[in-house]
Amino acid sequence: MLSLVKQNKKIKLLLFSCVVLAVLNYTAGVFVYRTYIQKLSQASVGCQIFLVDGSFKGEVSIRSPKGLTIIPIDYQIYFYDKRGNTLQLIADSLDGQLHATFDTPVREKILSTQWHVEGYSNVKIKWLWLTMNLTMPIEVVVK
Amino acid sequence: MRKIILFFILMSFIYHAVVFELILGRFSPLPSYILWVIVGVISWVLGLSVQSFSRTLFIIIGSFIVAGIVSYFLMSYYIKESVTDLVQMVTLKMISISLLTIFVLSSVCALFGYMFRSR
Repeated sequence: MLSLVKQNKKIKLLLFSCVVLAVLNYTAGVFVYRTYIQKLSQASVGCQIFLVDGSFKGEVSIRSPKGLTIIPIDYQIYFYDKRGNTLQLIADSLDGQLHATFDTPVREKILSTQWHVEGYSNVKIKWLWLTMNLTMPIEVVVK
Repeated sequence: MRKIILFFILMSFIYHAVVFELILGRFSPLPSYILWVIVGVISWVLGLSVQSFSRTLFIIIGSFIVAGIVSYFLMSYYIKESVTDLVQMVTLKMISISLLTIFVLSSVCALFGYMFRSR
């Protein structure tokens, strides 16, 4: 049987180690989360599209910040008309490459109506012990 | 009195850490169940060292409420950028069920600590 003083010491040690573990876990979690968000907000997907004699020529490029590994999966660029119907879709697999070019013929409907364009890219993000699958919006510039 | 205040702050923090673990568990290095064990151990020590169970219960309930309020306000800081993936993780169901479980677990651990204290 342990003496009462010794037992008290052991309980205090147990309490102390538990508290230290919890505090470390908490601060590390907050720190990792804030850094992750900061890094993620620096990442962006850009796309420039040129309308050259009847075809869309463009380039998709993903900018990844230092230390954060971005593995692109695919990209989708939608051309919508006023009512939200899809006029044309340009999509392809990226397969881990940060740059991709495309050359697609323009559909006739697009030349005759008003339209706007939106794009999404599915990416896999790896950083420290984190792996995330995210959908990032593409900043599309049409010239 | 000092002991009660210290334990009150400690329990508030630990409950808040559990809420944090529920929301952002992926980002913290330790797995969630370790934190649940830690809550159990600390509650047990609380019941062991505070000499009356009414005070223990007061500390547990009070700090649980305080931790809830603190977490509510800090949540708007954690999820400032609405990363959709994170928001999806915070479902009401998960949080309410887990919080109820952790509260009951903690109370029972404290009761055991009180029952088997050394006089």
